[in-house]
Amino acid sequence: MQNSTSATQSVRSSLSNLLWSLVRFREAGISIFILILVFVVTLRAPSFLTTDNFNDILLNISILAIMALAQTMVIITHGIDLSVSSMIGLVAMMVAFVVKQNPEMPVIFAVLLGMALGSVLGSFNGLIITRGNVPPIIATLGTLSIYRGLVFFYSQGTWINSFELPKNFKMLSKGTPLGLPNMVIIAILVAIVVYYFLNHTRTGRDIYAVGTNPDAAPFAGIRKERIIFLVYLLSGLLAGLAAVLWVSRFESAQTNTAAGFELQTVAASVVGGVSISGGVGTVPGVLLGALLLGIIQNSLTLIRISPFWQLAAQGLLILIAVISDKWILSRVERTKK
Amino acid sequence: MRDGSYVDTCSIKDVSRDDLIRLMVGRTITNLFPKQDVKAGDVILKVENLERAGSFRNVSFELRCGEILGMAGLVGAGRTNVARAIFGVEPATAGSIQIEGRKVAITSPQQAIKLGLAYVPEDRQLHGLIPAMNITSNISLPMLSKYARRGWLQDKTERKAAYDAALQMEVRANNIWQMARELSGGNQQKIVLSKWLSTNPRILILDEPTRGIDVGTKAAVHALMSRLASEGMAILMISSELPEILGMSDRVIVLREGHMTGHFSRAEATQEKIISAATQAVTLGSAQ
Repeated sequence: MQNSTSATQSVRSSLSNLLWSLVRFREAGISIFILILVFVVTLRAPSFLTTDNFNDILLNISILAIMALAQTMVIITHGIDLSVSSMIGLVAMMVAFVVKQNPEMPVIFAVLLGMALGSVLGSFNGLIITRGNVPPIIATLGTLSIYRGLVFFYSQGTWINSFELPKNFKMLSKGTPLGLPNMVIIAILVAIVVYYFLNHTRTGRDIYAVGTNPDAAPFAGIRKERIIFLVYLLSGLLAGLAAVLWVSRFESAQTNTAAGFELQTVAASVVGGVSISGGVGTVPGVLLGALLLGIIQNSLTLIRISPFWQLAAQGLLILIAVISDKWILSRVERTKK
Repeated sequence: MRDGSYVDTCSIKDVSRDDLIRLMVGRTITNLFPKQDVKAGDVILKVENLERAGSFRNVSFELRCGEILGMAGLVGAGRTNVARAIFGVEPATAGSIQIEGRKVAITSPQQAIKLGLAYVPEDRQLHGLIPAMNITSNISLPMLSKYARRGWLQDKTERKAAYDAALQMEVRANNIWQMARELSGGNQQKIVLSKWLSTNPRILILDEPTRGIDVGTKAAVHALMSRLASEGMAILMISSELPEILGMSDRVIVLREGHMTGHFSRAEATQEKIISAATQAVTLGSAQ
C-alpha cells in the first residue's frame, strides 16, 4: 500500500517536473518554433536564409527588443506600460527638432537628450501610478493619449524629413564600425545591462519580489512604491533611447511615429514567456520573443502574404503563448495535488 | 509516518497522546514547552501609549533582553496591528516606541530591520514568504544589501548564508533552489524563521509562530524560541493558543478590542485569568 502510493507520487512528481521544466525553459520551446519556421520559410523562399536578410531582421527588431525589455521589467511588477509608443513619438519629435536646429551637435548629446526626456515622461507615469494609486493600465492608457496629443501640439502637425537631419545623426543607427549595425550593438548592450540588472542586483531581485507577491514584499523591507516608480522611469528612459534610434533609422519624425508599437512590445514579452500576472520573465526569452516576431514579419513579406495577415498572425501568436501558459500552469497545479 | 518513512501502526484506542507525539517526532517530548528559566536583562523595547486610529490604543509594555513576552487575546483584538505598528508596516499614529532607551519613530519595515527588529507574520503564504521564489531568494530577501556590493549581488555569499541558515533550521527540501511553495507548512515556517534570524535581530516578533504546522516542527520552533531567549534575544510572541502562551511566556499581556486588559507574570498567569481578560467585553455586553 505504502509502496504503491509513493510510486504514484514519484510518477506524478516526475511528470510535474517535466511540465515545470517546459515552463522554465520557455526559451527552448521558442527556439524550436523559430527553427521550424526558418526551415519552412526557406523551402518557400530560399532568399530568406541569407546573411543580408538576417542583418535586415536584426536591424528591424533592435528597437523592438529594447522596448520589449523595458516592457518586461514593467510586466514583471504586475504592471503594463501602454504609453511607450507615444513616449517614443514625443521624444522622437522633440529630438528631431533639436537636431535639425543644431546640426553640428555631437550625436551622443542627442542620445542623452532623448533618454533624459524619456525619463521625465516615464517618471510622470510612475508618479500617477504610485502617488495617484491609479491602475497601471488606466494610467498609461491616459498618458498614451496625452503624450500623442503633445506630439501634435509640439510639432503643429509638421513633419521632420530626411533632408533636414544631419548625416552623422542618420548614421547613428546604421553605421557599422564594429561589423554589425550600431543599432544592433546598442540593443545587445541594453540586453546585457538589463540581464545583469534583473539577475544580479538587489533592485532586480526586488522587482521580481514585488511582482510575485506584492503583499509580502513590504514585510521583507522592500520599498514597493519605489520599485514600481523605477520600472516606469526605466521604461521611459529606454523609450527615449528607442526614439532617437527610430528617428535615425527611419530618417524622419512624424506625428504618428511608433503609433501602435506598444502592442508589439507586449507581444514580444508575452511570447517570450513573461507572465502578465507578474514575477516571471527572462531576458533571453524576451529576446527570442522579439526575434520570433521579427522573423514572422519578414517571412510573411517574403512569401508574399498581405501585411494585414501579419497583424493577425502576431495576434494569434500572443493568444497561443498566453493560452499555452495557462494550460501548462493548470496542469502543473493539478499534478501537484 | 515520519520524515518520509513508515514508523508504526497502532489502534486508536491503544495509543496515548504522548505515544503519538513520540512516534511522530521520533523522541519523547518530556516537556511540550521546553522553556528555560532565563534571567531577564535590560529593557530593549519600551512601548508607551501606542495607538493606531481604528485598531488599538493605549498599548504600553516593556520587553527585556532574554524575555519572551506573550501577547494573548481573541482574534481581531488588535494584536497583529500592534506588531505591524512596531515593525512599521502600518505605523502607529500616536504614542512612542523606545529601543534601548532611545525614542524612535518607525515608519517603514526597512527602518525596523535596521533597528534590529524582525517580524514573522501570521500568514506565511501571503506575507511571510514569496512562494514562487526559491529558498535562497526568500531567505536573503530582507538582507539583500548585506549580500550586495554597490548593488551587485554576491551570489556565493548569498548562497552560503542561505544554505547555512536552512541547515541550521533543519529545513527539509531537495535543494536550496526549490520553490518555497513546494514545501510543507512547517518547512515554510522554518524558511521564514531562517530568513529573519539571518538578519541577526535583537527583537523578534512572532505572530502565531506555530499555526498550521506539524507537532515536530512546533516543538522545534518552541525549542528555538527558548534557545534564542537564553542567548539574550527579546521575543514578543502573539498566540491564540493558550497552552503556548502559558508554556512559553515569561510574562503575558492580554488585548481585547484594541485595549490592554491584562498583564500577568509567568507565575500569575492562568488560563482563566487570560480568558476573562480577553473576553470581558463580551460578558459585560451580555450583562447590559
